[in-house]
Amino acid sequence: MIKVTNASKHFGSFTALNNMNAEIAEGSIYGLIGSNGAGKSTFLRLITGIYQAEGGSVEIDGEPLWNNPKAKKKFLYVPDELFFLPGSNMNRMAKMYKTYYPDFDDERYKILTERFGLDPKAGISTFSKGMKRQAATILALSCKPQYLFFDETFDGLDPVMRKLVKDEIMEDVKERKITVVITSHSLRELEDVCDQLTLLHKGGVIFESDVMNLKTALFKVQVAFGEDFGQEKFEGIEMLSFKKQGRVASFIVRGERESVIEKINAMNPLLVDVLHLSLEEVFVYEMEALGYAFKDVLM
Amino acid sequence: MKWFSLRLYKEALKQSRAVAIGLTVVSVLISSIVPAIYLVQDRKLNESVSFLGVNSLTTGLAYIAILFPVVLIVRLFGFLFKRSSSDFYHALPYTRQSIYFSNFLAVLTWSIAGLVVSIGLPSILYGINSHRYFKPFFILNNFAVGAVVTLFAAGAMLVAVSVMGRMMLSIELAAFIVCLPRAILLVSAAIVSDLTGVININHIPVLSPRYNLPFILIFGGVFDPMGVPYAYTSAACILTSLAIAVIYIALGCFLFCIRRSETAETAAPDRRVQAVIRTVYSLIFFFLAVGMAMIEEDGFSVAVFIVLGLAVYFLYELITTRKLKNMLKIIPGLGIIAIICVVYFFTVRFAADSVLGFTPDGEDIESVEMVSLEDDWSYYYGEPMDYNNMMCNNIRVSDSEINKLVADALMKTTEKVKQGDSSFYEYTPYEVRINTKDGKSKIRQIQFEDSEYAKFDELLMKQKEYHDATYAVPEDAIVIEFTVKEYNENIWKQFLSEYKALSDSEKDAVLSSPYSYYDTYYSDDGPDADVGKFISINISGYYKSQLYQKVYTVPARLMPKTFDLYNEYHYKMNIDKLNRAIDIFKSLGAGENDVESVGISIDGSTDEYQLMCDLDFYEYMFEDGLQYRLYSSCGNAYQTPEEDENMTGETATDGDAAPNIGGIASDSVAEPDGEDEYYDAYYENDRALNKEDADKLFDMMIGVLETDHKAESGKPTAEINFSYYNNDYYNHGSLVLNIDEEAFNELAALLAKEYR
Repeated sequence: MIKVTNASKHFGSFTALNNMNAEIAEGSIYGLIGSNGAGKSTFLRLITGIYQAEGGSVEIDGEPLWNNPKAKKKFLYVPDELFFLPGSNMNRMAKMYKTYYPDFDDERYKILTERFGLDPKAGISTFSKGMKRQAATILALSCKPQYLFFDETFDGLDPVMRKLVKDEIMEDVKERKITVVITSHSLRELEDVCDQLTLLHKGGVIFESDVMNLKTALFKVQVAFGEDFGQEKFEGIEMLSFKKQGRVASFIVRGERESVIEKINAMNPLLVDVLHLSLEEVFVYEMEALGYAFKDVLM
Repeated sequence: MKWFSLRLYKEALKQSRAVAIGLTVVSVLISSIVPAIYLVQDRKLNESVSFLGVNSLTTGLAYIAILFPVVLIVRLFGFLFKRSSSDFYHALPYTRQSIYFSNFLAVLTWSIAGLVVSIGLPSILYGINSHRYFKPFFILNNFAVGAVVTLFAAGAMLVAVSVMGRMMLSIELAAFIVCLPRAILLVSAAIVSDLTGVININHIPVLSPRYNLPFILIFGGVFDPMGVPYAYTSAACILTSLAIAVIYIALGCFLFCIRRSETAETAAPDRRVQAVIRTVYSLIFFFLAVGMAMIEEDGFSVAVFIVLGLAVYFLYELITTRKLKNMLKIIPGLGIIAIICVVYFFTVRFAADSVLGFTPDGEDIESVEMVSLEDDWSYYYGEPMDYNNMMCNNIRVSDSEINKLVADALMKTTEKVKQGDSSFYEYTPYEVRINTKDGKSKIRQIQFEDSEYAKFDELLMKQKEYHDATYAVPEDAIVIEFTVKEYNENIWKQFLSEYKALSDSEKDAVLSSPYSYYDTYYSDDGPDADVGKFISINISGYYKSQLYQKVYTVPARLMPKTFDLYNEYHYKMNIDKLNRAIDIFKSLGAGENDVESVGISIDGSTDEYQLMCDLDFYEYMFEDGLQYRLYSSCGNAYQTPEEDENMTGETATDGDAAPNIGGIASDSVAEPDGEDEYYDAYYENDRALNKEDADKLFDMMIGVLETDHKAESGKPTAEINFSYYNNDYYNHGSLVLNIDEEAFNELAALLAKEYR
């Protein structure tokens, strides 16, 4: 488990992270979203020991991370700006990774290289941006760490490769119960792979929730009655939004679906319709409830 | 906590291998090209042995020892300069200390390997060259010096890369770390030295530039040539530099461990560090301005240094931050510089006053020692020391009369300085170490008046150890006169045995050499006519790894056996070569030899003529067959003034005054071209000479020489110089031989009358 408690990070007068708290459970895929400059990369650098937190603590499996090889041995970090040895190819990089990470699996490396269709002997400088990301991902997965951190890694991949990477990650999570932290500024990227999502804005956590919970906790109801009605009719039902046009109303409800529908049905409506919300819609409503405009946070 | 990882170390070795190999190739070229050239050249020239100074074994050692760590650290620590690589390495599962030392040891491994090759190869090349001599200990010593310089440069570079965010700024900072502290000390010491006139900056322990090996090795040739070989063999200098290196390496580790990854690609980690660097870079100029003001130089010098300091201060900020508005923000920092300069002023003043305040009485002095009796010319050109000066150095002398004399002279010298007495500059200072009874030991430059110094010298000579050192001769020296080892050994043995029997005044005659290192003089009319005929013997050797030299005068009257033995060997060495030169000439043109040129000159006189004549013959193969090219330098042959009606009114006693009456001309195409006066002067008297005439003249010259006879007293003699040269070797020599007086006069007459 990764535990971040009241961690802050400043760069001169700029606050990148402000008293951040986070708990990332083992065997989960943790998504971190936010706009540019929200603090995603800074957070990752804190939990990989690149930055030292100013105040607070950052621990992995109960061990402080800073300058602690025992803790750092457990993870592999694939940053946004990738690093390769000048003039190297993938095989050379694999040797280097093997030196630094003794658990490096040559067999897995070979399989992944073939699966991704990369030439391990070609110079990495000849690769495209997407191919470089694939190469970095292959090397990271081959190290078989307990924790994997990806900083906007998917953003440069085509849909086919993105799916391939996600499949590989999920396979590792399933088989070895690894923990993955992925950052992105795109909800759609993380929607179908993450267990937990956290929304960062200006160095602080705005919103954090289990994805399944998010998807099921809120739903949209459309209802029509023969007589006129107002929001007060639905007292006892937690609503995040209520709109009415004529005799048809639609509202966003937080709650247990069956009991809410049962309550509404007891009012003898002419029409009751339950609609699922997309994750983006869920986020919009949740943030509105918190007082943020979605476009200000994620655009 | 782990401080080293074998995995990291191996990976670092791998990553830097190509660079290290490239550096090794470059350094081998730098260090080996000179000995390789000497090896080829010495074989051709076939001169006697010459000695290498300890600092001459490895050419460019300082640069090699600095190049390796700087380039390799840029290679292995260059990850600090880019965000992507910085993040990568800081995320690795290793402690920062482990990354630091593993990479550092990889740098050191390649650097040491490079040093081994760069020192080993020239050692081999010199070792197989029988004409060059050095002590095997020098190899170890060079290696030690190289290793310390490497560590020093590495430490400075590691501090720099740990602080700065860009490569070029790091290299610049490292250079300043290596040089600036010592430069500031040097400037400060120079100011104190100038203010007091009684201290030599090169002899201040620890603070002297000699105690910073990279600094003295790179810059010593400019201001302290003798300091370079001194630093090589001084344990104090080496150990001081090593200590500084270790401090830098430790400091580098500390800074590396606290360095923030986000420093990559920035000028400096924060504004405070930026301010410190900017201030330090400019300080030396401000200190110089303070110094100039203190030694009352004109205001222009002071202003120049202030302007330079300000320029460095502002330009550094502008270049590193690229923000013009910062120029205003940093102005308050000049206030700090002003305060530092005020403190500096008082510190230097205090130091100068302390120096001038050291004027112990004679009874407070326990002993004195003469220090650094280097000849002026040897000091400035870094030449080997005189052996006896070396032996007299640092002999501790305890004598109340000497102590009083030194104390009085020091007091007088100091008073002159305090009063600004300009006669201060009229006397030659002597450096004396003064050891007081309360444990102080100071070196002071003391001025003695002539009578005082004569008394001082007289008292010193009464001290047995000093006396013995003055007249000491090195038993294990090597004579560098002949190319035959046995001759040199025998000469020296003979010299030593005759020298020991001489009185002090006779030894004085032997030890005072009137001519330069390269002269061998053989004449009845020496500059010191009392000694009569004499020759000079050059010796060289090492004393505690310091190279010394000495030229001894060997008067025939005082050391007859050595004199005769020398001449016997000289004759043996040269007569065969002379005969060969004659044979070569006779066979020129017949394609029987591979010699390109042969030359013979005669410099002698009879009652009737004085003659100086050179005949040089060059043989070149041209497409249409053999041709001879004859060239001559100026020849003077003249009769006594009464008999030569062509003489000008000047007396023909000196070569310069005598007109060039006879010249053997060249049939070459060379003509005065107006480019070089010196060479054009030769061509002015050129005339065509065919082979027949050349042969005739050569036969006449050979006829002059009684080549079977050595010079004997009472008969006319001439000095014969000769040489012959081809692509593979060059041989030359000289002899003094008796001449056939009749043949000589005939040749001189011919030259005087027919070849004008």
